[in-house]
Amino acid sequence: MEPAHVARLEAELEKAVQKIQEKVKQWNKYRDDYVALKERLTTLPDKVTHDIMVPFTSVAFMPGQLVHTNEILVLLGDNWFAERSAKEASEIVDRRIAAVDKSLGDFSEELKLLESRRHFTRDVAQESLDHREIREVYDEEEEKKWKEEHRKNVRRYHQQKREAAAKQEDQVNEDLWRRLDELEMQEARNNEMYRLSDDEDGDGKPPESRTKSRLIKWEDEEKLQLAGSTSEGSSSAADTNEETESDDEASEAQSNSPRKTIFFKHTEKVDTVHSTTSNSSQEENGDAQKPKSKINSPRDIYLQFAASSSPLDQPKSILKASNPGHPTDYTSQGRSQTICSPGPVSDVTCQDVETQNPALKPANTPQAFTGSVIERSSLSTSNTTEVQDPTPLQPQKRVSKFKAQRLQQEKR
Amino acid sequence: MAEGLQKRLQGELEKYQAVQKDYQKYVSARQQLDAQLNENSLVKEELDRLSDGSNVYKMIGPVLVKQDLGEAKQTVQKRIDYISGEIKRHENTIKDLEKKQETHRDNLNKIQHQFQQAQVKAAARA
Repeated sequence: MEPAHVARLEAELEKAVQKIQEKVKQWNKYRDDYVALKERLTTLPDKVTHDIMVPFTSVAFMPGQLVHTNEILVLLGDNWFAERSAKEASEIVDRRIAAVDKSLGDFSEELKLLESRRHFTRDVAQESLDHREIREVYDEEEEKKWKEEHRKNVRRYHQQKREAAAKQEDQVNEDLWRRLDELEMQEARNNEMYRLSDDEDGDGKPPESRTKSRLIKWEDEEKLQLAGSTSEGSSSAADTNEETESDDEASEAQSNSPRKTIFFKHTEKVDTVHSTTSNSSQEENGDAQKPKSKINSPRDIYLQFAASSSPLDQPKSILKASNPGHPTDYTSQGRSQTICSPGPVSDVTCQDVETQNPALKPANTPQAFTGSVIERSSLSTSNTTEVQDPTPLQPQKRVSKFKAQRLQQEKR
Repeated sequence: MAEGLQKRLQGELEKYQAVQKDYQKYVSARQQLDAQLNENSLVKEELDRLSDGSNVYKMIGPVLVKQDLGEAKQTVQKRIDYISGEIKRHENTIKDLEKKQETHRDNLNKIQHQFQQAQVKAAARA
């Protein structure tokens, strides 16, 4: 509320209060008069006649007598009079006094209300000094206009959002296709690399003791050289933790570049204890990128946790042992067991065969299967002792293969 | 255009003031009647208290005229009824006058608004 209004309100309230106070004064006077009258009425009938000074005018008096002391004409109102005795008149006066009292009570109530109102306005006046009134101008037409504008804006905004979302989707799709193409290229390159590196490592070392780290990177041509250098550096390190850390750094440095690179590292462990510790340490290190566990395929799990075992625990190879008497046998050696163990790559190679057929290798390199093919007689098994058995039988008489087999089984 | 508006404004204002005067007259009349009613009810009360045989006088000018109690009672009762009727009539008139006042006020506001707009336009043009 503005201070001017508040001041005016206060003034008005003040006026009203004063008016009522005056009325209250008047009525109090009436009451006093009535009380005095009552007293007079009680004393009047004491005497038959009273000697009094009769007033003629406001300043002239005359001695006289008051007779008919008990006959009192009471003005009832509206020019009506009633002749009453003093006692009756006093009763009337009593009633009049009661009425006056009631009026006085009403006045006092009104005063109370006015006072409270005054207090309130005073408080408001005080408040308006501290607070600021916030006014919002409300214009119907303007509101309508604004509503229309707002609706249009909201529609436009939604449209834009939709378009942006659609564009984003297209962009994502394109990225995916590009990534897939890159991956294919990488795989082809990796296969080549592995094949080349395989040639280098053909020096008779068992696979378990070999520490070899391979990095699979999905990047551009430019970055490939960088990665090649880092892989060489890391493979020379003996401690796998260091490797992972350096890899981490290298890959982290490279991950800051616009192209995203994901680095994988495989290292074959000497024993399971080492592998577990290094695994856990790798988990700590490699949070920034893909976790540096060597496990890329189920075979890696086997490698890590079971590759440390001796050759005796290796599962038996599903390939049959070489048969020395067979004409198509390319292997020049005898009846030693061929140990075919799963190598570091996805293809299965038979070690002994591999070592003794270096000449055959170059011919087979473009093919997927790098091992040699050994044909044996269908009856022969991998057990060397059993191989010997059928051979003495053959020159004696010609027996069908199945019968021979049955005979053998019966012998056992 | 502004002249016409101004004339209209004046006319409406006068009408409104006339209605307001009437309204106030009737309101004060009603107040008076109300007081009279109260007085007469008091008189009636006192007369009822009077036992039969008491003398009742009516003041007509400077003369006190003796009246019969019964008659006095009746007269007072009649007066009371008359006054109540008058009060009701006055109340109706007051209501009507208030409505008229309202319409006049609205008209005045409208014309005033138009007048202000016209003034603003004139000021803009000038």
